[in-house]
Amino acid sequence: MTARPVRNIMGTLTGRRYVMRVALVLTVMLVAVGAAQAGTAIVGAKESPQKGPWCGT
Amino acid sequence: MLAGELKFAGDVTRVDWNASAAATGAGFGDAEITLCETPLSEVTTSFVGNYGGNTPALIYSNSWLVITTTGDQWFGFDCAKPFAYGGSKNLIVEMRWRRDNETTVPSWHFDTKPAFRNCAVGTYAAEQGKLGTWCSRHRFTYTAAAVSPTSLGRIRALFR
Repeated sequence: MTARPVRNIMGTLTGRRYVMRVALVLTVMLVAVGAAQAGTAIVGAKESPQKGPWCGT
Repeated sequence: MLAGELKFAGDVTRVDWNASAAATGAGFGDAEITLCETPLSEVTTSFVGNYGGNTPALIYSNSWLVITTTGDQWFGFDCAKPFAYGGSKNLIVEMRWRRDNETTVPSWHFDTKPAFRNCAVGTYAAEQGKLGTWCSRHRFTYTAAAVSPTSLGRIRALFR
């Protein structure tokens, strides 16, 4: 079995690129949390009670 | 509903009306509720024309819908499939049914004079309706729109 060169693995996880990758992961996590947020929107005031629109004939 | 009144963009998961008084066992047969974006800021007498070239999405259907309210309260319907509302166009909420048990659910409306914001008729398959200068009070439940792939790509590009 041929051992995988450690240098290639460590090379992508050291220094500036490692920091960048951590930042990217954090950013993606924040985006995911933001996308999951729910809300409600109420349109219109209680100006006039009327028949319907669910109005049986 | 006007985009300026809705003030959100996202996936609509539920639509509610606001009952103004009690109603018991109001029944509606083959009831359907659709949502449709439209570029029109007020409605015309043509149901299809009001879509402005867009296709309405069926969010709820029930062979026999029964609505009971105890007073001033919200009542509504979960969407069978979330409706993606872009937030820039206006939104048509349309419901129709083939038969009912002659029971009404009184609801809160707001005045839209002089703009026509309601179109209704008592015949299921009618193509034309009568206009009204009022609009139902609504509550929309939604989840915020997901970030587009383009935006995510831009974020990723910052770290290359």
